[in-house]
Amino acid sequence: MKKLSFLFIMTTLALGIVGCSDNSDQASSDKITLTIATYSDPFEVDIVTKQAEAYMSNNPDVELIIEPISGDFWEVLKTRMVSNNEPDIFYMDIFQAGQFIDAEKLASLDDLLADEDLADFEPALLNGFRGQDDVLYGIPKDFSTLALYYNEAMFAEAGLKLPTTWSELEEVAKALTKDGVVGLSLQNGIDRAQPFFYSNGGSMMKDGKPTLNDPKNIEAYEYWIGLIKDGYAQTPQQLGVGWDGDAFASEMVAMTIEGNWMVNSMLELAPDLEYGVIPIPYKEKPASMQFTVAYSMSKNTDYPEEAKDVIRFLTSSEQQQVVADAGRSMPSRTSALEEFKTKWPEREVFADLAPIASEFNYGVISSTVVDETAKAMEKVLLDDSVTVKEAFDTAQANIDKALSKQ
Amino acid sequence: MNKKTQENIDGWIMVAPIVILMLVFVIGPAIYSFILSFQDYNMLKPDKSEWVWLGNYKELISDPNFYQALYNTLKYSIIVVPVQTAIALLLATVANQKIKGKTFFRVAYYIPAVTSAVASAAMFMFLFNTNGIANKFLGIFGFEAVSWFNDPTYALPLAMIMAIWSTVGTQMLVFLAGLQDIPREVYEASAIDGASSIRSFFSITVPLLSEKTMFVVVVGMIGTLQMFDQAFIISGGTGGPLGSTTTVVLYLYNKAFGENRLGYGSAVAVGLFIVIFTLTVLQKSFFEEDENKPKRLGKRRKLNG
Repeated sequence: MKKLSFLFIMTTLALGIVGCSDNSDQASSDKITLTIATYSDPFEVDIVTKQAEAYMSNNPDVELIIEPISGDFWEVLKTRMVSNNEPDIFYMDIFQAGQFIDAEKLASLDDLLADEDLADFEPALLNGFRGQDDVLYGIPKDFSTLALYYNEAMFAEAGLKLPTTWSELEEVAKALTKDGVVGLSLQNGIDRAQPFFYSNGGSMMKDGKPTLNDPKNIEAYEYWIGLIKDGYAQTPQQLGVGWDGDAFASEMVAMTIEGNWMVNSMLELAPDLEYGVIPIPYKEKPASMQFTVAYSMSKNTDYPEEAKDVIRFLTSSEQQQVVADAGRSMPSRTSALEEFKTKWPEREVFADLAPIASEFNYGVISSTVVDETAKAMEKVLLDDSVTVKEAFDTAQANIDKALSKQ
Repeated sequence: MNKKTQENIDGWIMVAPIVILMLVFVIGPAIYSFILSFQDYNMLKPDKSEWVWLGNYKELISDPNFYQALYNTLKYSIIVVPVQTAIALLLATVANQKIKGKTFFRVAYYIPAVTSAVASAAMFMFLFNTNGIANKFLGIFGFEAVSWFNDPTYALPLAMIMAIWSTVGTQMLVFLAGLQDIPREVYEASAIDGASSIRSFFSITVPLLSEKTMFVVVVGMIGTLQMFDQAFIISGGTGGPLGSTTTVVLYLYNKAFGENRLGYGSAVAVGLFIVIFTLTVLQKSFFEEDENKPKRLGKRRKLNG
């Protein structure tokens, strides 16, 4: 028995020593090690890995470790921040940025880019990563916008003109709804409906606070839900498919509102389908919506200057082109965007929408705003007795309450 | 050092790995979470946390969303536990018979239990969407196709079906072990007395399995009250449609990790703990009263023998 316990203690100790020595190894090497956290999607990991290799071959004294975070990226990032153990550089979605900026978890990147470099970025893309103090906390790496996809054959057959206004959209959707085809597929959420709010003169943010129940928003959503209730539009769920792309690719619908990522999906889902893309029809003024992902830097990093250099490299024109060539999103620099447009003429419409695209960003409690809005929209969709105003007012009350708890 | 203390030390060393694991990953976090529940703790601003003592609990008892979540969870539990227990018992009885290929059935029933919840949820969403196989099948009997996980009436039942499907296997195994513990002569004696197989099932099998049943029911109840993964996947984390799949754990997850309010999330967790603890104690006393029956039966057997 004694022998056994002795053996056990020794093994435990030995394991402990092995575990510790791991760390000291890293510290003793003279290379600077920086971790970059990305989404775990192989598509992203692949691109960033290649970029990191390119950087390391020019900077032999820096070692970049790509760390794909699987599961809920934001939950993992937050919990690691609690233990001050976050990666040096990480993706920052415009939608999540507010809370991290508010909690002072991100390092200022104000001096990262020279003024003329900064001017190369679309201002609308930078704004979401600025704090109340106007300090920049993230450099956009790429972005996407929303537009209207339409099925060319269905439009030609029905002899219809492409819609540019709300009333025209309703007309064509009505005319195209026949023979088992629905005019329009609409994903019932703020991340698709928002362009309608803004094109009606509404807004989701005022003075840094979410304003879901703006009367103009309510009016815009009444139009949106009217299309669905009249049967000219359906949600992907009602159509029994996973997302708009499936509905559009299988020709269940003639139109849908989606982002430029769908161009790539269409190559896979329906390579032979002839379709076109136009800006989303508007009421008072044209509007779209943008989804931006930036690189941010941890406040706790041991090598801020080196990390900034890495971000500078990753968001350079040249590297943005690498991302754009992969085809899923668009470069955030105007110079790179021009090149992108000549290379992908069919995606020009998305690139041109950048200046009028509202942000997918609702400040500190973005995720609560999105959840509450989703619930309100679902309520209006499923329960005929609830008016848009009632649902939006309730959601706004919950949003205000959550905001007061921050 | 005498022999007793030496044995004690050895014993502790032997169990040290699991004790340490429990302390670090179960008991420690539970205690920490209990402490957090008295604080206003924002995950991203830990340095600004304040002691609010019962503040979170006061908010909890006047939070209608919490009651909605609790109602959903209890509804889910009340339906799932009895149904899965009954099915598990039935399957165990069948799998315990001397039928051809019983190993195959035992394995087949157990496979769902080892399938990850995420994988099986994805599969169920595929089966139960508007154009899914389940709807096609029900269409034969004249049911209208519905998108189960998008309809507030059907989303929770879908979660129930999923839970029952995935847990009966484990419970069947527990019952199977119990069935094999029942001495054969009890059945023989009852057969000689002229009892039908149905009669002997209800008068022998069920009462002699009561300890296992207690275990299955308690574990099942705790599991269902802590339901999270199915609801998370069905609703994409929102607890929809119309809050019909918001369970207590999903609610606390959204509060803690969505709104960064770890303190309030912990208070919800403690609330759930109190509910589960009370129900378990109640069940235990209920089953203990019941346990007199098999004991009497056991005695009688001895006398007869």
